Amino acid sequence: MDSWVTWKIAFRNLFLHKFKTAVIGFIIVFGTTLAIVGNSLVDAISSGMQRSLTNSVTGEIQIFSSDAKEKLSVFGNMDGSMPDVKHVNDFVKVRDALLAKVPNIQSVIPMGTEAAMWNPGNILDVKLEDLRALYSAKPRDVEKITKLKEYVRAMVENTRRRLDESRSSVSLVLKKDDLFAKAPANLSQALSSEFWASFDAHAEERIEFLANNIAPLIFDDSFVWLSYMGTVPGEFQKAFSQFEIVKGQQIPEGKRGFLFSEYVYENIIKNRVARRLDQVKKRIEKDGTKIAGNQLQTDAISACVAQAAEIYTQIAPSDVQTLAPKMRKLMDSKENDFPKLIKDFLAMNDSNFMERYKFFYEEIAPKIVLYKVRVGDVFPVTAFSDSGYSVSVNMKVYGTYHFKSFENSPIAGNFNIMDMMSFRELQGFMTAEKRQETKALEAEMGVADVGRDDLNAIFGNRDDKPAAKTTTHISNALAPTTAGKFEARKRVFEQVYSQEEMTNGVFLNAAVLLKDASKISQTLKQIQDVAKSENLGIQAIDWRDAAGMMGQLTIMVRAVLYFLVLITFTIATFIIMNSMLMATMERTREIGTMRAIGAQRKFLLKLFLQETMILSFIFGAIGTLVGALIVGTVGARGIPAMGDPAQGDVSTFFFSGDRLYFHLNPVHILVVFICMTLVAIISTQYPAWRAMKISPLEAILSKE
Amino acid sequence: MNSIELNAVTKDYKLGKVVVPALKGVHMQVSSGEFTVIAGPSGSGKTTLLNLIGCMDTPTKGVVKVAGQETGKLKETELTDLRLHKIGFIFQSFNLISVLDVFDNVEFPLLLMKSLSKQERRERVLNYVEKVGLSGHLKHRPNELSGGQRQRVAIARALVTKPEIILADEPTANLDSKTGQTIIDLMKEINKTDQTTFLFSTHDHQIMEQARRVIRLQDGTVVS
Ligand SMILES: Nc1ncnc2c1ncn2[C@@H]1O[C@H](COP(=O)(O)OP(=O)(O)O)[C@@H](O)[C@H]1O
Ligand SMILES: [Mg+2]
Repeated sequence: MDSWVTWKIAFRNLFLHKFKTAVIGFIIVFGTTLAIVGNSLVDAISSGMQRSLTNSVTGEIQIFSSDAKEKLSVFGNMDGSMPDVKHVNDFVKVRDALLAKVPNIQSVIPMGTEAAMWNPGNILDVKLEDLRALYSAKPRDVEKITKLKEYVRAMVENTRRRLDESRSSVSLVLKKDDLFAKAPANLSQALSSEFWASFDAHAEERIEFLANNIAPLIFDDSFVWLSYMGTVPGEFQKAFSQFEIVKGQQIPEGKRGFLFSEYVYENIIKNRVARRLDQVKKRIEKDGTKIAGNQLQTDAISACVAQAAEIYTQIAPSDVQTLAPKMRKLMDSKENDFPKLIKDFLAMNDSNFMERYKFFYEEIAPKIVLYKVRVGDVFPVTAFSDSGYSVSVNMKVYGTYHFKSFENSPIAGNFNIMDMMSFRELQGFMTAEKRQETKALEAEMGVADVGRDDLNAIFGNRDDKPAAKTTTHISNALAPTTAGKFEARKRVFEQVYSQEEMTNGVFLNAAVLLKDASKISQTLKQIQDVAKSENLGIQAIDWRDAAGMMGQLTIMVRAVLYFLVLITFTIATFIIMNSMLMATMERTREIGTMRAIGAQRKFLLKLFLQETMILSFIFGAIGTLVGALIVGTVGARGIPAMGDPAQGDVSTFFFSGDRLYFHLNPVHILVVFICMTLVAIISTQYPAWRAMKISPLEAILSKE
Repeated sequence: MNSIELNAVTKDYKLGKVVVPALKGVHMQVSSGEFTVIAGPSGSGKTTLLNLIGCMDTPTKGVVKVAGQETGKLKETELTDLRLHKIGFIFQSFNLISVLDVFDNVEFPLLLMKSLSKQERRERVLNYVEKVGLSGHLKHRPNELSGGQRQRVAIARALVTKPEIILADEPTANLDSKTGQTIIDLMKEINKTDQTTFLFSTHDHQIMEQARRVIRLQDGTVVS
């Protein structure tokens, strides 16, 4: 009908039922706004996450063995274990074949992720080791030895004191053996004046006694789990633009080495008390959260006080003499008992926090072990195989790194980095040197061709039932008897290797970085083709799959969003339908009249459709406009990353920065438009069908 | 030439199990240009008869021919087309579309016909609105008009498609007798000037007397 009379009719009818129209309008505006804003947000998070993942760990594509037992997931399985992806033997062959045949590939970076355990030892262990070194040095530095002995003696004293204070705080591990039962006797022996008077004469024996009987009583820190990624650090840095060294330096080319993730370093390796003070300060500075009245803050302060021993046991008696007066002055205190003084110091409140925080870092921190491993230190990393044998490698820490723009996210910050060679060794693969050793071993034991699995057979317990990886790890950790069977060669970190040696060999997975990142699926296909034709024994997946659950996250978020929008639109559809049905009843006579005058049934369908179209399009347009307005203002300004600043912002990873910026996508407007058309069409069907069944006789039968 | 032709037409209504015979074998013819009244007491079958002629219903038995077409043999869409093009309706309670003004109400059937341009429609509508004397009320909505005015709008709407037959079921029943008379006068005048066939029912004796031809119904049969 080439006139807008039908529109006029539709409009007038909507005006006649203002309330109903308003309700429907509200629902549609809500639904469309949600769809527009929600989709923009999910888009932004999705691309933010893509940026974070592809720029930090996964690259655009990951390749791994086609024999993999489980799907590759670089962040690990749901239960925290690493998926069994098997391995590919010859990295250089795979890399060169791909680079030659797939022009869109920029670089291929070998990788492998695994978790290892590290027992940092406690402060007494460390000091005893120092003492041992002083005794074996020639000539002996008597002054230093005396000072350190005093310190050790003070520590033993502290240990007795803490044990007396609370027997329950002693580690569970201790309670199960008789070390705990013998503790009082051992402690009084270690504190006897005879013990110390004849120390120099029996240094080795005394140190051994303290290490075996007293040090385990200071079980102040549990084992540390370190997730690490083996790679070629220099190439990794070149390939992943977000990579940045924070402390120290990159592992030099050709050297073995270890880089802590800055996040891990600050949150796990750092002294617990110092870490807590940092958290309290961050909350105060970022969110202005006062200590008083805030559960998190007061809990942190109480924890600091409870763990004061981690500070005072670490300060040598000679340092106490200079530090204590300064503290008494600062705190205006007369406390003579040093441990008590430290406790009082740590019981900070809003008025003195900043002052004491500054004092802590200027005066106290230099006198304690602030980080369990310092940059430049060498520490042992121990990995366990499923069958229970362990491999230890001494690793030199060259520095810490983070990924720019999501420094605070624990997700990507989870991985520490080590050279590929050490990684292979920890995995139990043959390295060049190892091969030499095993050759010798073979000769000795008369075994031919020792491979990885054979090593398991030799050193592991064959009858071990296959258990979940994590539980095996833990039980191994608590039963260190198997540890160290494969004695780590202590100075391996000093050796220099060629680039070829470092790069080539076994790898678990590898990141493939592309020249044109928009062609992921085509390139994926090409890689798969080349892998098949060249018999590379690899499979390829995109970054989303490689990220496991995390990659699916935005898909799930979008699914939830679509579900909500669908529900809203379904509700809208039903309300419109109901409203139209009522209108049909009300307008029976009018409809009958139209039919009597000569209107065909399809005319009625059109009339009804126009009415619902007006509803859905006007309000859909308003909703889209509101959505666009929100996206335009809020999206342009950006949403700040949320969460507890002290715990690290997970959101920075998804935002790929401190703020999430999002913008309007015409596709979503089109989708909304299609949805609104569907709403209109669907909601019209039944009422229109009912209307078409109205007989023209109704014009005469029903009275006004 | 016969505009309307009925042959042995019966119409039964079913009320549950009871069959109500509303028309019992009606024969009648109406020629082009006639001005005919169907008279009869309430319940005699006048409305039923007009419904059959108006193609809004089909007979139980017998033949109803309107404008040369046998209605019983037509499909629903064809009946609707016949109503649109050949028949104009004037209802007892006017049946205007309440949300449209006078102009739009009168234009409505022309829009359904789709055969005229906007300009032609406009001229046609203004012509008939003038004929029924409502040129000053073009923008008024039905609820702003009196009963007589509304029935005039209805007449304009019935005439605007230039139908062969105008059917009116007791068009004056809802009007006072004076207004009713002016409506009848208007119809008579249009009948005279345009030669349109008028067929309307009434039980008002005063109106019956003015008709040239009266068909009397009683108990579903034509008595004279
Ligand atoms: N839809 C219907 N269903 C059943 N009976 C009907 C129906 N319409 C009319 N009738 C019956 O048919 C007869 C004729 O009615 P009608 O044509 O309305 O007479 P009139 O218009 O002369 O008053 C009456 O007995 C009436 O009750
Ligand atoms: Mg009647």
